[in-house]
Amino acid sequence: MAFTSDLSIDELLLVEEAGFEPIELVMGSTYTHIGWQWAPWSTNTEMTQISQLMIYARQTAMQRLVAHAAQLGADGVVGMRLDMHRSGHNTEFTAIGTAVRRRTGDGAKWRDRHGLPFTCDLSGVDFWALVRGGFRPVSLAHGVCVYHVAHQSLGQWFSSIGANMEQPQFTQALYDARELAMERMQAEAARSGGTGIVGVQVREGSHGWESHVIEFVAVGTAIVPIADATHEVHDAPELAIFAQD
Amino acid sequence: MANYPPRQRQQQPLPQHAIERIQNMRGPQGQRFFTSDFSVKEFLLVRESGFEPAGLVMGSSIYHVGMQGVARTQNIELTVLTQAMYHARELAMARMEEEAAALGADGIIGVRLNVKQHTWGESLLEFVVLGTAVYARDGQSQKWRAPSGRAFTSDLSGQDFWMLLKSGYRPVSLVMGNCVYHVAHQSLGQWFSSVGQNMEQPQFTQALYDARELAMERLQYEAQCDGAAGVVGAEIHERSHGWDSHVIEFFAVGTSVLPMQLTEAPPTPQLVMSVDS
Amino acid sequence: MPHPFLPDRPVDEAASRAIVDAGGIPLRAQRRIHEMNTSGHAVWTSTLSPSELVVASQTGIESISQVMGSSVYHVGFSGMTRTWTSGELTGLTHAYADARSRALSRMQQEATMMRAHAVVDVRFEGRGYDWASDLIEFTAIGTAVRLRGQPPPQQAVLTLLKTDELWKLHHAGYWPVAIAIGNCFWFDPHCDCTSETSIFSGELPMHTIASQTTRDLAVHRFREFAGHFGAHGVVGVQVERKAHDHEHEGHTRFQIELVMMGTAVVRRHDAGEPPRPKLIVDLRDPPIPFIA
Repeated sequence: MAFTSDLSIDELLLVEEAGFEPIELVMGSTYTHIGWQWAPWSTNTEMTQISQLMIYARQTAMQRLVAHAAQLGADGVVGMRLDMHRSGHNTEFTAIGTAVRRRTGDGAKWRDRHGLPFTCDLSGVDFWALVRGGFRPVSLAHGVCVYHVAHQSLGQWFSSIGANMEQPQFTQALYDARELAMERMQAEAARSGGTGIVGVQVREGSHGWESHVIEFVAVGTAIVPIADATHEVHDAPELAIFAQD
Repeated sequence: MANYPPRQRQQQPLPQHAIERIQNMRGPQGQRFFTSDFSVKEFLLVRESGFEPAGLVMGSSIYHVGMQGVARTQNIELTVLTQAMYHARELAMARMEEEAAALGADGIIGVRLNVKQHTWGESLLEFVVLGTAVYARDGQSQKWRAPSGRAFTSDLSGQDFWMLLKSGYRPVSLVMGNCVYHVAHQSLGQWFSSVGQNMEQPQFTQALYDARELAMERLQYEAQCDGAAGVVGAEIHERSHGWDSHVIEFFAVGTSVLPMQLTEAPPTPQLVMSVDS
Repeated sequence: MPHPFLPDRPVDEAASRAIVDAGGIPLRAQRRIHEMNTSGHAVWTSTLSPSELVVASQTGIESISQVMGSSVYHVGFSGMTRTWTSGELTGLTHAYADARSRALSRMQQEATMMRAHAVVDVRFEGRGYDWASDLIEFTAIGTAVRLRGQPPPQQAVLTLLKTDELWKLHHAGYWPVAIAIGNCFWFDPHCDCTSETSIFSGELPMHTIASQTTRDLAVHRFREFAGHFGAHGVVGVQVERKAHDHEHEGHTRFQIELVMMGTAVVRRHDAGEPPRPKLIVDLRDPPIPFIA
């Protein structure tokens, strides 16, 4: 059966060099209607229901992708991307990536603790660099916090007119929201048995909601060291300057 | 074997200010002052190739491009417009080359061609070309100039120029070809017969195909007139320049090249992976 | 002395049209290729950059000429809105697939006429025109290349690869066989007709199913296409997806289009061990924007 993958030639070459072969481009998706939740006008607070929904929707998309990959006998998924597309009042969450299989037959060692394929958002190049560096990905961990930022009262607004000063209530609110998202991501990574997370990105979005409602998403790949003395690692790197921009 | 007439651009007198600016840049030997739009890396690589920047050169031409009458239902080239657009670009190029010649340059790198419309003049188009003139450090001008003795021109960046020389080719000239084409309006009968149907429209396929072919053919013809061996980085652009939507200009542009003697073997490609992606 | 302007040389328009009708390439294009083939000192043209040229010249790939293929197609969109059942818009799917394959076929004919082995650096563009809303055009532009010292093939191979990618692919033990394409248009006039103001959150099963079916159909066609060429795999797959909902008299109409495109490859029998890449640290600075 022919493999399909959205890997570039560089990526294909390196994934093969790391001892894997691509099987198929796998996808998972779910369409969700996001309703709304009431939040007190002048309070900094998390919108817990919406947070949970966003986590649940992304997890559903990822689970469907992993189920598809497992069905194909994959040991992992590289280059996984999480996207959301709003169309009208409905939102689609998609996960897409390339399912890969270990060529040397020791694939079971690369799967996660439930025997499911590993997932990561690393490109083929990064995947190769990580594996030859002595680590293996476990799972893509993500955490979400949807936060309502308080509207200012007239008194607050009046007292700060013309003054240059920090607004501690906002600093604190956004700080808290990011912390919550990262904490959830870390907890997810720990549950999957990862000892560290690489490539963490914290993104913000408001997805067409009211401007005081902001979503913070933290995404990263949980990794563990490879406990195998025979595993081949990198030679020392050389220095180079490229002529091309 | 066909005989191709050599390309000779008419000399274009330069405005007084241009002459003064260029004289300022020339200065007495050893005190040359140059301007260029090179990035630091381009600058280093152009020098690495044995060239020095001589100065930023420009040419422009404001051209009145009218409309050409044509039957609504015809797929046809608008030759008057094609030639007008072509001639205007030639004028701008010739002025830029004139500036380069005044600087004693052997070539022009990073040539960019722009067509602008101004709100104050309907059916006026301004053609601007801009590039950095360079000269060979070893003074062997004849080795680098185009067969006609003019400075070479090219739309390659400094990096691409360096790479081209490494691969055993040298640029000859910026070559272009164009074709302004009128796409037929469909008659009511034609429109009606294809309502609700999915089918290829061969008359349009053929028309647009022909227009692109003509632009490509003219580009190749220019390269042949210059005695070049090949063309790199060929591109075809499509633009309407604010005309009626049925009138489209197809514009092909690239750099013609000639093989040259290499002092060292071209670099062998290697598989390397950058640690930072 | 004005520069010699190359006038259009007339061809037999009716004959040219008949060739296009039959899926061929117009006579003007055929003439250009014929003249290139027969002229002893033809200028080669290519879309390649100088760095790709270095890779090409060092690896035995010779650029012959820029090649092109296009097809202008009439699409009867009107059929769609009258549909009251959900399902694939097969007419639309076939129209887009046919227009794409006609453009690719013409490019392949051009390359084969030049006795090229492959077409690299193919850029594929689909567009509509201001002058006719119900017409689409697909244009494919690439560079025909020849492999030094190899006999001319029966047919040129189309690829979405750059020259250096073709070389790397060869080193990795593969060779391209075709550009594989699969597509699907789907329309559902009543798709989870939830209201915008609904406070309830939850999955929309009909949307999810429509999206998955569209994908399955496109993937199936894509794999069939690759399988037809005996491919062992498809690399560099691009997925283009357009989906939108719109509300009409209280109903949610859902339309989705999916196109997958990639280069089908086969494993070479004579492939040795691929070279081991070197690890390097790039000392480049990131580009500094002029105005941040």
